[in-house]
Amino acid sequence: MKEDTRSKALVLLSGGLDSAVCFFSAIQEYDEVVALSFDYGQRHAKELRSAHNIVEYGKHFKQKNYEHILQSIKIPKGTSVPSALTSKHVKLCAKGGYHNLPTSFVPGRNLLFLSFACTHAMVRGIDDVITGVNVQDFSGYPDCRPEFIKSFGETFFKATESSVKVLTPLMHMSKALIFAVHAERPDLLKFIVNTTMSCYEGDPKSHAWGMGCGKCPSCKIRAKGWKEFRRDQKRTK
Amino acid sequence: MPVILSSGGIDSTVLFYSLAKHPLHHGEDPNEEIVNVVVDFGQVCYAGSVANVKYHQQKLGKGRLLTLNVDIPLAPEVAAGPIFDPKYDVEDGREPLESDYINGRNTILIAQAAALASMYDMLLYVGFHIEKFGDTDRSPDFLAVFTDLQYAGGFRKATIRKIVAPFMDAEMDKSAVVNLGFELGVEFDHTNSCTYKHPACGKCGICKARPKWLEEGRLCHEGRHPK
Repeated sequence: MKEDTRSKALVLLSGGLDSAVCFFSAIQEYDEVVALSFDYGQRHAKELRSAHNIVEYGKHFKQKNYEHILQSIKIPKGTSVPSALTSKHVKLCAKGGYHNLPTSFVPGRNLLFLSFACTHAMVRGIDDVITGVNVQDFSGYPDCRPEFIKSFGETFFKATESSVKVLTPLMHMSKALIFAVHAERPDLLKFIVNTTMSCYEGDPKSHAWGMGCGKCPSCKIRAKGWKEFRRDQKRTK
Repeated sequence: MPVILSSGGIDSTVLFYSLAKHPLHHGEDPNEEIVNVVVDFGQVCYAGSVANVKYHQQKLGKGRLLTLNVDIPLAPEVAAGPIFDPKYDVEDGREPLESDYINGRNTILIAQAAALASMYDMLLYVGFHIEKFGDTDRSPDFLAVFTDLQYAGGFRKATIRKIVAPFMDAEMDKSAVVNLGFELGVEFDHTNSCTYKHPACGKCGICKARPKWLEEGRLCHEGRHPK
């Protein structure tokens, strides 16, 4: 977690719930924050629009300017096992993707994301890189596990001997707990719920838990998390 | 199918010849295609790298060229320097590793190439050797942890036994690589070691060191060990 001596952070901002929560925490904890979003040919670009809106709200929220980098990367699309996140022709399934992982798994995506993020951090003199990955979610994406983050940290240090650290504040949090991070600021929570886009289909249909189709795995997790969060809120009142 | 991270320089060219002429020595199927991946990250030398790779592919009648465009984050002083500015007049003795080191470059390039290799069930080969130039992202330690990282990241196990660095595994230094290149018939005139220009600037530290590497390799090749 954040060390007191570290005043600058770079946040990976996809435009989804988790990264938005990380971004709003970071702008309250750090003196300087840079947001980094990736254009990797994803199925829909709506999350990038959400990322833009999140940074704009952050500027208004803290009355401060934040740099928002949009990094283009090319994720190789294998002929045998393309991902549902980069191809509309692939159905979203819990199995049957690369290595029999969910079809929404994009091999190498987080490896590339973190490689670029840490390099951007290095050239800007930023020590902390924050990503909203978490293992509680679902799916068993291997590159969202603590082992992967630890291994990446070791590799990047071997490569660069830099002091850049990857922080994963949400790693072991349930979706309900993630909703609760900014619950003390209802205006902010409302913005996060209504603006962030986690839906794999990019469906803008509005629900109490936010935008989405309500059917894809990501929407189901989000809806369930919201329900649990609201139940916990009522219990503590 | 082997994929070589190729720059058109000495090491990756010798590695290409070794894989093309002696695939079985590397455990590769002689009928498998070799893919030369050349990365365009905006460097002045990119076109020269492609030209060199194509020349050797044509000569051997093997290899498929794949180019990758990668937008690497750069420190402002490096972005404005001679690697990226074609009009920059390189100072005599300028050392690329001291003045123009691109932080994180190999991590990004290898991550990109490893993702590509894994998606097509190819093995990624790099021409790294044991000569120490001070860049940490080509060390055996780096390659070892990168292999672990791929596994942790969910890459298909069959394709991640390691990033294959045959020269490093054989504990070959630069002169040993050049020696092997002579044995394999590499025309070194069609390789470029200069970080800045193609044709080479002739002024930077690497350009000044290159004749020595070639001479030492030639002496090894002729059975006369360099002092």
